[in-house]
Amino acid sequence: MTIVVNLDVMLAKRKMRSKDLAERIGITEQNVSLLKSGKVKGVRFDTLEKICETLQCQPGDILEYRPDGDVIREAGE
Amino acid sequence: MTIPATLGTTATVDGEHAHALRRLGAGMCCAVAIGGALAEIALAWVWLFPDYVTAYVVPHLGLGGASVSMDGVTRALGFAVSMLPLSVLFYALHQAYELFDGYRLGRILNASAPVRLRRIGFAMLALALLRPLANTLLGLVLTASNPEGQRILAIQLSIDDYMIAIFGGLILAIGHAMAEAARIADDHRQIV
Repeated sequence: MTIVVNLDVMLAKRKMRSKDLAERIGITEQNVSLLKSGKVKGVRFDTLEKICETLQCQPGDILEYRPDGDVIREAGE
Repeated sequence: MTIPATLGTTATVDGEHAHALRRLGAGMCCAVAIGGALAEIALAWVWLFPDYVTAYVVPHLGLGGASVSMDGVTRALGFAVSMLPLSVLFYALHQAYELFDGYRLGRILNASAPVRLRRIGFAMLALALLRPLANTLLGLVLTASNPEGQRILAIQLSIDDYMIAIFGGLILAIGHAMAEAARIADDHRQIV
């Protein structure tokens, strides 16, 4: 997938655990885990809004577009 | 044939319709189980007694008053032929039971429901074809021991068979629509 989810990076920067984020934004920890691993088909705007509000960041800090080649190269490294 | 594990995702029913659907599912499970058992018992009962065969089977075969054989072998064969459409009906009832059991447990938009609906639809279509075929075979079986020239091959098509086929097609179409609904529901589950 060319959309990379950097939620784990933002969580690390804010020193917040997935469990705490899940509680604050009102979704299950399992869904946060799926979102972190990029194993979801989409993110609702209200979920994104709550994440940005909680982590004090922009949507672009969480979601990033990378061309396929870059992702494959990174995976190889 | 088992339903693929990849089709096992489940959406449970919540909200105002949940209770009604669960009750309906439970009721239909009972109705399907009782109906299936009664159908089997009634069929066996009819073929056990020559009088019942004369009263309930022969009039529907279009034999036009021809003499029929009622010995044990003929009735055993008749029972076996009658089991052809009934076995397809049992298959459809089994699928219906599993479908309603899923509703009873609150599973509505899971991927197994459309598979079961399509199986019921195909079974009904097969039943619409098998019923006239079985009746023709029954006519042959019951008149097989008659002297030459008095054996009867009767082919009957009834509005019932036509309606069963239409019903089967309808269930099949609903099954395809449900498959699409289940796919959309699965997509929604993957959006956080």
